[in-house]
Amino acid sequence: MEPTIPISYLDLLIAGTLVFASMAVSWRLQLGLEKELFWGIIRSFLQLSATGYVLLFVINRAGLGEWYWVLLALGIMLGVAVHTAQGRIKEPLPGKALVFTVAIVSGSVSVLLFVLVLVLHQYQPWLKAQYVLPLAGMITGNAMNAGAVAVSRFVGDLRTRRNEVETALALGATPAQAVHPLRRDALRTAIMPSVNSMLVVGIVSLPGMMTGQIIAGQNPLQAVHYQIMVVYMITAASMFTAVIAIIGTIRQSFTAAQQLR
Amino acid sequence: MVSTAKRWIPDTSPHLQENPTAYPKINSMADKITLRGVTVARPALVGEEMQVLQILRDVSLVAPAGGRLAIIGPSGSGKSSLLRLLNRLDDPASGEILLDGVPLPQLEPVALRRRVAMLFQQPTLFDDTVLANLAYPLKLAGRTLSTEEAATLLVEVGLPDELLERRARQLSGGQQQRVALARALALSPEVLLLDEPTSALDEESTAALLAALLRRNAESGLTLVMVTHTREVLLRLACPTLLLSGGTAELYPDAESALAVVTQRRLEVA
Repeated sequence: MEPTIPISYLDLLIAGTLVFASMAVSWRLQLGLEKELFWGIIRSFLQLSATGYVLLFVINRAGLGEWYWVLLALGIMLGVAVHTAQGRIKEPLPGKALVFTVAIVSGSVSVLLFVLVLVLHQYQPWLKAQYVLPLAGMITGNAMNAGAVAVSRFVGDLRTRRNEVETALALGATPAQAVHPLRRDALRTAIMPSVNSMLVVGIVSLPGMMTGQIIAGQNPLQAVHYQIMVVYMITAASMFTAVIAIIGTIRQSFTAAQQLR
Repeated sequence: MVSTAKRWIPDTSPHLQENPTAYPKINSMADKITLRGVTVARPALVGEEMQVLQILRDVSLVAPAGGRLAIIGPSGSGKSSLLRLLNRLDDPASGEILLDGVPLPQLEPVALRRRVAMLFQQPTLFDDTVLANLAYPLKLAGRTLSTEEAATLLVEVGLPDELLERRARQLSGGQQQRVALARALALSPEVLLLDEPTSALDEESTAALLAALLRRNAESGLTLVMVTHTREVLLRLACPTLLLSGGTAELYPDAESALAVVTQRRLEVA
């Protein structure tokens, strides 16, 4: 396999001039984004460098049989995802930490295990951090987004469409029946990005993972197989997480006496 | 009416709060709704802090089956909040509410709400046909509504049955409120709670709505509990009237005596 062309720090600085050019445009057009763009250059460099070192460390340790480093990294990944998702919910929702913990952990871990055990099983990939962590990252990131979008949309609708829900309750609907249209809207909104990306992938978008593998010298056909698997697992993780998050949100939004909180 | 009117007078004497069972039982067979020492509280933003404010204290009364009760009071006096307790959209902070002598918490909420229906100030029809809206509560109950039955309901509220296939949200406000009433009546409830249902209606719709309500009340014994701020509606209902103001409830045997007190105290009620 042909080795990847290395990128040095100097090369990165040259690449960074692209953003410096964007800063100049921002200044010229008075967009007021110069500061953000500058921090973007610095932070993306520092954050990704740190991630690189962490991945290097975990992959090496896991290679030595110290599997618990992989679990630790997974735990941190899930924890950050839960924290980020609940931070995006601006409306009050009692127990939202629990809702997102259950939804993101079960939605992500189930799909990750499925892929590791049933798809990549012949190669015992669960011992190889270079498989587990990138896959987990993609799954968790998408699960987080889908869960946050679903819950955010749902609790927003619960406030603006309160009359509709209470009217249904007053007509003898259970909470699940009363929120049926809201649940449908929230889940569709959360899942549509995954579905749309399945529909356009390869035509208008070449996903980062696939292009990365191709640059790394992988046979494009194999890279494509990986990408297909990734698209499928992202869709499933988004769906599972959003559905579980909405079930939890419905539970938290009503009292035992089927009253809207 | 004089003899029944007496039964509407709330008993707020202290023994009641200490010992609810001491409440005088009067012909409990016909008691539809009983309130015993009901206190209404709701969270409110005081300055920057959320506090639970008592908006109504120690309301006790008995509403007879097949009767009518009007609730009036200035805005913010707790009229809607009190009404929402009766089908358990909310619960009282303290006190007890009974339907046919059974405390509401002992009833399944869905079953309770099928017996005690509610019409809101703003009609919220689902974005579907009028027929689908009328059939909705029956569908929830696992039943169906025939086109004939739906047409009968529409005629009952003074609307032509051609409207059945129309999109509900394209009707006028007055028509929508009448469809909402027909929908609330579709399950033949025992009690109908009405939260200022005529506040946004023109005269024709108001008259049609009241006519339908009074007919159900007279012919089927539907118990009516209506919050209103319209003098004409109150006089048309011609029934015992609960006046809420300053955190307390006072019951008057008829609309006129309640309105006299309203005038005397210069309350912004009707």
